[in-house]
Amino acid sequence: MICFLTTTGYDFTLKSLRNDSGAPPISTLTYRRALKKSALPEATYVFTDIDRLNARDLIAAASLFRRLQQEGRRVLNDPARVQVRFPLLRALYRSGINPFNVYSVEEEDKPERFPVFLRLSSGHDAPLSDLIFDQDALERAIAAAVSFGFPRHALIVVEYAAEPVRPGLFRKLSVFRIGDEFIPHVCVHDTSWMVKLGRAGVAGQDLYEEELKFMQENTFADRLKPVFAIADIDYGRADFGLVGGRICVYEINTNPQVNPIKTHPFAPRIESGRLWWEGFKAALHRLDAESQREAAAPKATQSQEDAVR
Amino acid sequence: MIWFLMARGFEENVKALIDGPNAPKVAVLRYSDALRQKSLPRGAYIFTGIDRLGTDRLIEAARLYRRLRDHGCPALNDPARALVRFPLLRALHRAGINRFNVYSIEEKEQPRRFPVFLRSLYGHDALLSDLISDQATLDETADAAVAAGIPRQTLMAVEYAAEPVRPGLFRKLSVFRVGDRLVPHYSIHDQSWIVRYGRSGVTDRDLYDEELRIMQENRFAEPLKAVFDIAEIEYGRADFGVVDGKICVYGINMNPMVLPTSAHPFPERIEGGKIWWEAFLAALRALEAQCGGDASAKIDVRGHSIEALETAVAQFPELRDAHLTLSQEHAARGDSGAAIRIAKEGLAHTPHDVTLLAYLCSILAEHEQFDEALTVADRLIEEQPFKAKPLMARARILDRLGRHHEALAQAERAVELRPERAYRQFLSEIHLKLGNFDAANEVAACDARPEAQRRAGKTAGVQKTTRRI
Repeated sequence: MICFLTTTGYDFTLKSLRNDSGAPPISTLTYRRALKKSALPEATYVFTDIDRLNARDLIAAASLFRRLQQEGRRVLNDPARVQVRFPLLRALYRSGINPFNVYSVEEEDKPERFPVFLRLSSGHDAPLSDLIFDQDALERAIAAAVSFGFPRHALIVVEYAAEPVRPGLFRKLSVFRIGDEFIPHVCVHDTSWMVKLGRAGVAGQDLYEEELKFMQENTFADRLKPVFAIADIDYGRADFGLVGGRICVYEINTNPQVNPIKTHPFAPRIESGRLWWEGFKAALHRLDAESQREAAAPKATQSQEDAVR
Repeated sequence: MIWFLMARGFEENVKALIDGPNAPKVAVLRYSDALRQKSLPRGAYIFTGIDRLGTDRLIEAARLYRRLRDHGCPALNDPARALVRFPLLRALHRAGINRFNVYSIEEKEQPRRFPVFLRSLYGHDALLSDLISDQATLDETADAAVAAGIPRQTLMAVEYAAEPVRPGLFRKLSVFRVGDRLVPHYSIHDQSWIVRYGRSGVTDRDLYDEELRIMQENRFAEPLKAVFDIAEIEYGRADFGVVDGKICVYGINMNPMVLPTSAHPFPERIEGGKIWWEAFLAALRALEAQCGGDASAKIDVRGHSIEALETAVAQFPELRDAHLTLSQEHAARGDSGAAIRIAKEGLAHTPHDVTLLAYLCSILAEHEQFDEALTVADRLIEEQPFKAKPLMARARILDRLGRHHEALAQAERAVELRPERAYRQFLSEIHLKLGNFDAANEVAACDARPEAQRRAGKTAGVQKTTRRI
């Protein structure tokens, strides 16, 4: 059993996985419930949504992580160590992996270069602005965001770093980490640099073939390993682009929506989707099996008085 | 009535006010309850514990703050603006008010001078070390704290800045802000630089006498006013010390425990305590007096503040969702003219915003402005040529215009892209309107098949588009 801890309202991300008969047994549990329980069932626990926790729950989650670890459970994503968006992007910039920097609005950091865009430090919604080309416009954007009611301390400024794969077409790549494994995920294509969910019909056969090659070769796994290591994230999806051949990591989502790809107009995408979904499930199976082996080792029996959904 | 908004578990901090004599009417409201309400009683609202809220809840609290201000209710501590501890201490250092700086452990910032101490931004056991004199020890201490479960993102190193008032005796001063008033609070004395709760019996009459003079003169009100202004905090207690004659502000607590001073061996402290408590209650009463209106009346706090949204739109018209939200607010209040106008203005700034296009299309159709709605639907289809929803929106408008053949073509294409029940039902209805009974039956028959089978795209060989494209 693999149990994903999520914040309230964010367990929908795992629905497809829970409903897939080929996946290992999956359950979800909200932090609100988990933090109230005196005992939790035998399982591997994946702590997600670290960026959505308030300070008190974050501290309590870190304590729960340690308790489970001491009880011999396999636990992924230590809430005390995981780097959330702002410090992660800072760390990646400082380490030389990312060529772009980020700035804290609250600390009144001024960008060293433009264009930039404004976004929230947590959550995975689209940025709050399109590209901003000077300090004056940035200050107006920040003032507007605060007037709207976005907390100043949750606002960050990100230097633009994207490169179209061909004129007017952008591609976001992704790699999952599941424990010690790195699984390639299908790309998203869009006509805007703000690649979020993608735009249908803009990529052609050649790009889907290239994507399939990436998937078959797991081209970017080695380059993403140090990124996940810096982030101290054991489970999550890193989204990145390529600029001048270098990876630019935009974020790691510890609770991304996971879905199979069943139909698509292009056959290579169907195959890429199959590779992703099967690879993902296989990695989860291995994680589960490994945990079961560890659990089978002689140790004190844990109370299982609480059942999780 | 004054309402203290706070996170669960901190209600005790204002208990003395609720039960105390001469206090204004005070009540506590948890954020979890307040943010669910459609209406709240007219009154003054104090937003506390902002540093304890997660981002989603903080955004909701900021929305509520703006709605309360809309109704003329005094509201203190804007959750979108109040500076929490780390950025506040940084800002005070940059402003030249604090001589000491703070450093983020998560960002691996290295102190420019030692000694420092390690603290967590939250929690009662916030102080995690004694004084640390070098980087290696700081790293070691921080690693140990993280290993013990203190989240790295909550850790900071603080440069030591304290000065004893006499050998071996430290004093922490405090000033409260309540709205526009700055109220002196009595001091705390300790033999250690870590002055938290104080130590009884370490002070003598001279120091209490000095404390009383400080309180009578409200000596630090002026410099602290600047501190509260930088912090954008209108209710809270600033704790500070004096080093080389200059204030050093250690933090502002937006939800401190408030208590009158009861018994004390020194009359000067009793008198100081009286000054604090009475001035504090007077400031609260002044706040309460600003409420106006009927205290038993309920005010509508649903949705967003139109005034705040208008400000945001004027400041930066391209802000995501600003025009959309403003338009939706007008629509919710029955002003469809303003709703449509604002959505159109938004599109002038962000012409490719598909959410705004879809919304404008829907309100135009809802208000039977079909020609314009069709134009907007065309723009939406241009933006999202392989999405079913825009096609279906256009099909519905054409249907309303009686252009059933065109509606049929659009609906068929939409169903091809996304064969979901509502779309097929609409397609079937169009077939019926055109007298295509067999086709209508065929579409309806498909609907009789199991939903899961259809969702898997197994009907009529239709391929469904996927989210990641």
